[in-house]
Amino acid sequence: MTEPMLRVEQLTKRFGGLLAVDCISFDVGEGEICAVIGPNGAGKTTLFNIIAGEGKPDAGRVRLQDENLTGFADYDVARRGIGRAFQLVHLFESMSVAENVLLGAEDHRQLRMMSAATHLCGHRRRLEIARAQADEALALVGINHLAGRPIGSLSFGQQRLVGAARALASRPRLLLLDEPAAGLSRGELEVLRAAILRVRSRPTSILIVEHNVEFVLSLSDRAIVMNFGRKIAEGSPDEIRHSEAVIEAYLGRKH
Amino acid sequence: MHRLLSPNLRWLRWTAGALLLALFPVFVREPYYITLAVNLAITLILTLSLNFVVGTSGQWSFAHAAFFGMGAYVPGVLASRFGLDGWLGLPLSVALTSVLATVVGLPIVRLRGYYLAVCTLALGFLAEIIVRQAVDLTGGGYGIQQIPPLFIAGYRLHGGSYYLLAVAALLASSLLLDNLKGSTLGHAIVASRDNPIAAASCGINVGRVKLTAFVISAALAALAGWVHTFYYLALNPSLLASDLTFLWYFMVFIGGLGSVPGVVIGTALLSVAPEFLGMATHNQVLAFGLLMLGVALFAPRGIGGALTGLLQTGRLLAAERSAK
Repeated sequence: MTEPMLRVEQLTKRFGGLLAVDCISFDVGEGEICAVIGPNGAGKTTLFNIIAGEGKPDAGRVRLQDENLTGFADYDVARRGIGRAFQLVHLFESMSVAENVLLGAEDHRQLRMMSAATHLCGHRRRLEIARAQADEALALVGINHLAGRPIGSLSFGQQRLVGAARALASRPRLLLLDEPAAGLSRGELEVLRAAILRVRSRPTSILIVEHNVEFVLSLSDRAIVMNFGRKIAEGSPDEIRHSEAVIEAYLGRKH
Repeated sequence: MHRLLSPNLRWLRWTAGALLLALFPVFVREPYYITLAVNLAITLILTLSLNFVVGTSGQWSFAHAAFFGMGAYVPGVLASRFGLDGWLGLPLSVALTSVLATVVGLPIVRLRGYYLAVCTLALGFLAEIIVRQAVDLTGGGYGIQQIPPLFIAGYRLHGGSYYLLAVAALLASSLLLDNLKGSTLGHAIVASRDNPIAAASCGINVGRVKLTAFVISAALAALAGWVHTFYYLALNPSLLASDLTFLWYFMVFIGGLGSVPGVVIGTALLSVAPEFLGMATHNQVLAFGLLMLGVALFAPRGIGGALTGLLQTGRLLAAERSAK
């Protein structure tokens, strides 16, 4: 078996007496869409934050292919190939759609003061490359027609797609989508589904945390179910739909 | 097509602007107006760099006068006490001020809003006290007089020729800030101001980017200090007084925070108008206060913001008319 894209090993996170993530392990394969579902307070967002470098785990490891990313800062995790789209969108409000996505495409590993101050030393070439990557991400998500629009003029669903395009613009190896379907209309959900499936056509793995179980299972290859910080089930969407443990977590025990 | 033309047009605009400014001493020879113009160039470097750190980078720095003062004192002290050439004082002044801004900035750029404002304000007060107390080096409250002037090929820079140097410093600073705006670093600075969490998710080291913006603005203030020192050839500790920082804030706010044309108008208005109107200092404070109140009430985005609004309305009306 080839090495997985993402490997999470016995990840644990405590907040005081609360065990938010309890010894979770799973893999995400190359080009795979993997969903993390679970009721409110199951620890999905904490798990996501730790993978994205926003907070350190108390125990366990996060590996992206052959690289150990445990405890890396959020910007460092992004530089190493994990793109993230947020539940609360988090866009740059003073910029246009194209400028938002361009920021995702630009290489921020070095400050390049001389190049910034003089517009020499490869400035134009780097900007052209970033623009091409940004255009590609806009097309991939299907929002090129919005490129010149200011963020404030977009619907919530469109803003979500901009967030996804920005995360994709850096050509990440793994894309984290945090509740991408929350607050979207039925039409916007279909646009989102098409965009996610188009992304899969590239060698990009996707990890989705989502409340809308039916939506996320319909496009995932595999799902992990969490409850009270623990992994209670893992398998194909069909296996998850029929898992006793999952039904019990969502609907309660039969009497 | 637009993208192909724009870089050339941009250089054309800059060259035309530089030529226009350079012609000023050809037509105006009175020393009073030359001094006014040199002062305006120095103040513009200060307000544009303040606008950069506050408006573009979103950091409320009140230590601008301290950096200006350090940029003025370092070459002044080195030239008058140790005989160092004024030209060598320029890189030393900018470098030492940048080092100070980095050392000070490392812990404080992690602070936000009011906390950053209070810390930088304290730094401003501290810098003035140090300069007043280090009498042997800085001349204390009396300052330093008779600093050796700058020479180019044996020709002493003063009056109109010094004005050209001040304009060159202003143009270099403006070009640097304008170039930054269109660069990856400039984009990262705005992104870090708008949304630090999102900026980090794009791979931006927000702390480092904010520190860089803070240091760039301090370095430009130091450049303004160097220009000041070798025009007046004298220094006194009131150059580091926080009143100056507040005055520059007034200019930036009245002009419009974040709007470069607005800041230029605000600075020109507040530096030149009191001279022409022959206002006494206490009347100036009253007039600036009233002007600030007027701007806050009727044009919260400053003169620049109001002008942009008017332009947009004009364009919309023109578009409507042509549609009819």
